[in-house]
Amino acid sequence: MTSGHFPSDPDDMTTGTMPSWMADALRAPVTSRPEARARIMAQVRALPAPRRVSIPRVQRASRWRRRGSLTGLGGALLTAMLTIAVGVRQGDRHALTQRVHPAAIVVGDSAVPVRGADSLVAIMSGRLLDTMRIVEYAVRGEDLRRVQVRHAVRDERTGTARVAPFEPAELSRISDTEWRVRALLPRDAVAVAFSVNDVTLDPVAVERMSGER
Amino acid sequence: MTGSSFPELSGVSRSDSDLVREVLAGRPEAFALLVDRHHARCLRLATHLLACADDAEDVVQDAFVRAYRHLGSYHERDKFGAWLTRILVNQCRTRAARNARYVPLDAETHLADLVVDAGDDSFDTRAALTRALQHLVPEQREAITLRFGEDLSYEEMATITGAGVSALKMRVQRACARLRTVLTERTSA
Repeated sequence: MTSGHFPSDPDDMTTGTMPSWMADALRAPVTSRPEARARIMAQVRALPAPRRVSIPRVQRASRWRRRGSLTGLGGALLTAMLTIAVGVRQGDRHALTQRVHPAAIVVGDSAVPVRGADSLVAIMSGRLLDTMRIVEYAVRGEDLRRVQVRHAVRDERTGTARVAPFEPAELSRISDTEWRVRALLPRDAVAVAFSVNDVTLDPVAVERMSGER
Repeated sequence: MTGSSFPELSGVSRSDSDLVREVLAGRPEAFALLVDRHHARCLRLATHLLACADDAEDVVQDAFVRAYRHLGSYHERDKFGAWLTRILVNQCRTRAARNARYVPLDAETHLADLVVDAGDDSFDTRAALTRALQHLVPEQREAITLRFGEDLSYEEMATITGAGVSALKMRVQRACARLRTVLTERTSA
């Protein structure tokens, strides 16, 4: 028995080596019966010919389409119904905008305690009151069922930056064609959006009373 | 067996994939060339893993038949040899588990299965190998045989055995350490 170690590759430097005679012995051929291969082929010939297993086709259609609810006519009908619904909604809004006249007019100024006025930060900074504007909201038009001021915006053009300490206000019915309410509005609000009959209208600018500086 | 009966199939230049394609095209005799190419290697591996010539022959036969039956699911991106080895190793595990013969090795029986070439000092050597392998657990024996007997990389071994590369390295390391201990004890005795 030899005692040498067979050369190992870098992987085996960290794992292990074994005597070369042992590796040679592991690689040595073994005897096989001459009829072994013939027996294998005899078994193979008795089997049905193998066929290539085709890879299943990737299902590209979405689950909805595979289920059939959105195929062909169903899809077209659903699209048409959605288009009609959106169109009707837009039409309602347009018609409402035509017959409703909202207005927000500043009638004075007021001051209210800031939020968290009793907090140490507010006391230390000496900012205890927020000056607010008193605004008269009015909406005129026919067939009004519910009128609200939904939100106020800082930028009239984008209408995105909402004013933070804003309380939505519900307008009261004054007559068949007029709804009003007076409420406080943060000074930085430049526009307010009304909601009439649960349809939100485009924001309208907050105006000052004529004659006011 | 095959070359003379099917001279058109006897070309050695054809790759395993070419032969597989021929079999799948309806020429099962092309499989005989694959058997010729891989039988000896498979038998050697099975003999080392099972330590029983009869079991090894059976398992190799089963592995080839199984490979033929599932040839349709063989993908050409894999090496046919590695794919076949994976089937064979699984068959060996199944057989060993069924016979509970994986651990105990009959040294003399195993020794008789090995070829003794002229001028080879191998009888003692192989007897020593067989006795040494008796001291390894089945996973270590499998790892040692695939690594050093079949010269496979750890990545190839991982594909065949389903074990991770680091686990296989650990098995080989422990098997080598165990073999060194056994051989040292035997030498000093």
